[in-house]
Amino acid sequence: MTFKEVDGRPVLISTENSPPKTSPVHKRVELAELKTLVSGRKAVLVDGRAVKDFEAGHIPGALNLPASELDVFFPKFSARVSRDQLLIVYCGGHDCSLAQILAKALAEKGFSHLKVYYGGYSDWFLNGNPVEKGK
Amino acid sequence: MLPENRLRFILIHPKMLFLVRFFLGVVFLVSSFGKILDPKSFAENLVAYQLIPSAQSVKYFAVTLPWVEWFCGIFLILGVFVRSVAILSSGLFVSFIGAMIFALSRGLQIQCGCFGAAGEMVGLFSLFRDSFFLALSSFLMISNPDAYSLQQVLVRRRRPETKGDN
Repeated sequence: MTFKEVDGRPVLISTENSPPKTSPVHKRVELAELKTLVSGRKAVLVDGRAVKDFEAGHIPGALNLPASELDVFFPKFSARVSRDQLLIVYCGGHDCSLAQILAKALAEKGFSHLKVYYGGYSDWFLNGNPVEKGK
Repeated sequence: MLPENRLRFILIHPKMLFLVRFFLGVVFLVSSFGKILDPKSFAENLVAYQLIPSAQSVKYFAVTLPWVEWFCGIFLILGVFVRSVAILSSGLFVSFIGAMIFALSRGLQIQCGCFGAAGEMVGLFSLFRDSFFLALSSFLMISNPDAYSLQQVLVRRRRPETKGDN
């Protein structure tokens, strides 16, 4: 066990490397914070939608990791992204549950820094932000 | 009576026309309620279709389309401007079916947004259902307003006065 500073306060954290065994409550990230994190290259955006949905339009710079085909796409994803990086997971929008499913799966695979952008692609688009098409 | 004549008799029967008109009206009302109450979710559904290029246009559609559906529903239930509303509703169904075919052809796995945020995905069921509604709407479009519609009731009430004036 060790102390780590979180939001200016010392917090007791576990130093064990094993991933959490229970389903964690992932932190929510809103649009403004998302933009700051992504523009500062402090986070990796992960799109949990199916490949075709991703190719039709996604947040620029996002990586596609379809929650429904995790076994197929995860090896390539894990080779590109290290486990200590902050991941921001999103899907279609508020009605979409893929982001939560994917965040839970990634936590089980050892990714400990996870946040969920519940607004998803639709919130990004509806706020007039640029989108990217294709792979 | 020959089978085709019997079918024709059933189809043009005022009660059948009334049932079709009333049913379509209820469909439109039910469909509009969820969207009017939660336009944000409906806007998200529209975004998922990836057909409307700008965010402003999506917001415009998300706010206006449910009210167009609501007015279609009310007018069909009351039976006013039936043929005009049937033409409008047929146009709506053609555009809904077109959007769904476009989404399916691109392999998109998206929510239909047909009855608000019900969570129904675009698929063959939603496609056939809207095609059925289009058939009913087209049927109203080519039929004369039924005797139970408000516009026909008003016409019947005005006729004696017209005779009296002459």
